[in-house]
Amino acid sequence: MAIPELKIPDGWEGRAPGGWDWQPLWEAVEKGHHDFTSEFVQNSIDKDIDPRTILDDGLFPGFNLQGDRFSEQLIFIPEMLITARAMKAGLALIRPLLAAKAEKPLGNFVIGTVLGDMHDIGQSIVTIMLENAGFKITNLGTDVHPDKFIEAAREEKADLIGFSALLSTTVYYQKVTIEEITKAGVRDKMKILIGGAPTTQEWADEIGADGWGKDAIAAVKLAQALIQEKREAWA
Amino acid sequence: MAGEPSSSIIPGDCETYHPPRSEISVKHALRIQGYRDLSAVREDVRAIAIAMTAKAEKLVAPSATYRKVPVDSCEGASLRLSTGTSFNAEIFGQILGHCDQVLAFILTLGEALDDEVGRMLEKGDIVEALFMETAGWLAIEQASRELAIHLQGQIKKDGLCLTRRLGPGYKEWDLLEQRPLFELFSDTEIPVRLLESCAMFPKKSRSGLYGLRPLSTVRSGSKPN
Repeated sequence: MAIPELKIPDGWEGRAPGGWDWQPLWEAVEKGHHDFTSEFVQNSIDKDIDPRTILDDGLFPGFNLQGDRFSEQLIFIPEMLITARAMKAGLALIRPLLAAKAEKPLGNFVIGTVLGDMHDIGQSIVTIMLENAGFKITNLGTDVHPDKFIEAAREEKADLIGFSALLSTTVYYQKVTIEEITKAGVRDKMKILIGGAPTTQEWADEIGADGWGKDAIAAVKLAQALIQEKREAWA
Repeated sequence: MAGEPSSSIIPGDCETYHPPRSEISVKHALRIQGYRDLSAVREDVRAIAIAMTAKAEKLVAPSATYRKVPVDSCEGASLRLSTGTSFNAEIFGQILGHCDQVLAFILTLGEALDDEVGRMLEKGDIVEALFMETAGWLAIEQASRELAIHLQGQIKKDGLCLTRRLGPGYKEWDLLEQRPLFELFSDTEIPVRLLESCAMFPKKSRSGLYGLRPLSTVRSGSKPN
């Protein structure tokens, strides 16, 4: 097993003021010190560093390091969430600046837990990870009827849609939701991801989902890959 | 009717039982989150786990409603009760074959824990919410065990024991059969609401039934529930 290391962005010095050091921010995000992260990001903004640079050079290295550790099972969901909270605190400051520069989110992602299922923690975790990765999220909550998924997808012109299920019986509604999306004629306009404890890649294949995320980090990687794939345009 | 079992349940009566609140194990909560080596858990994570399990212990208010119902027939996947209620799941024939009666129950921890998890998620305190939710899961497991012990005590003198627990939403028993299960309690007030989708509110609730099986049918060496 390879021990993950901090990946220092190539050429970061050229994108920052002389004498600048991102190391404290990398560490703050990694350790989940959200107050320090906020202060450091605000200081970076005040120094006129480009918001995209703050994100890529300042925030992502610590976040990605923890993501790699999570993938290797060296850390677990709580540490990952502590890091995600710090990342979110920094993002909250730079997101309006990115929007002002007409930087679009990576994609529109509609998420929820299927009909009959009241479990919300898992999809809340995936939501925070996807937001941190740059997706615009519409979280429909729990016990979501297929019609509500379709309505939200239309409204948001969703690129991706994801539904979780935590009960062996409610995974059936993942299948129903995909069938309803297909009947509504919008299946090819978005990629469909599923997840949840009783789900598997085989189940995803069987019901015609485009991908299965075994955990929050896997879901983010999958979303980043699927967003690159061709889809029908929304009217 | 909490306390020592003094008489068996009169068939058809609706009973209530309040399982005792018990300590929620911090170690267990951490293990559920993947930590095998508890000595290596980060201090901030451990502190949240300790605080949330302690808070959850104060928030849960376990309460169970149950009723004994005679079985009309149990053939293959089909279970028919004397009330005219029918259920369908492959598992019934295997588990309830020797049972003349079932004991239907609805158990909840109350709304307070759900409300707190919701508030935490809204505030962005997702790690706290995660441990609160985990503590709630441990608490409903514990309350389920306490309920089973209580019921076992009630029926033992009648020469009966409980089968394993069955519930809509588990092991191929369709979640939609929550409706007929809840109808068994339609003449009484219960602290759990069934949503249109058949999910329960409060979320930390459990419904299902146990078969009441004659102790004489339990093979020697095998343990009843």
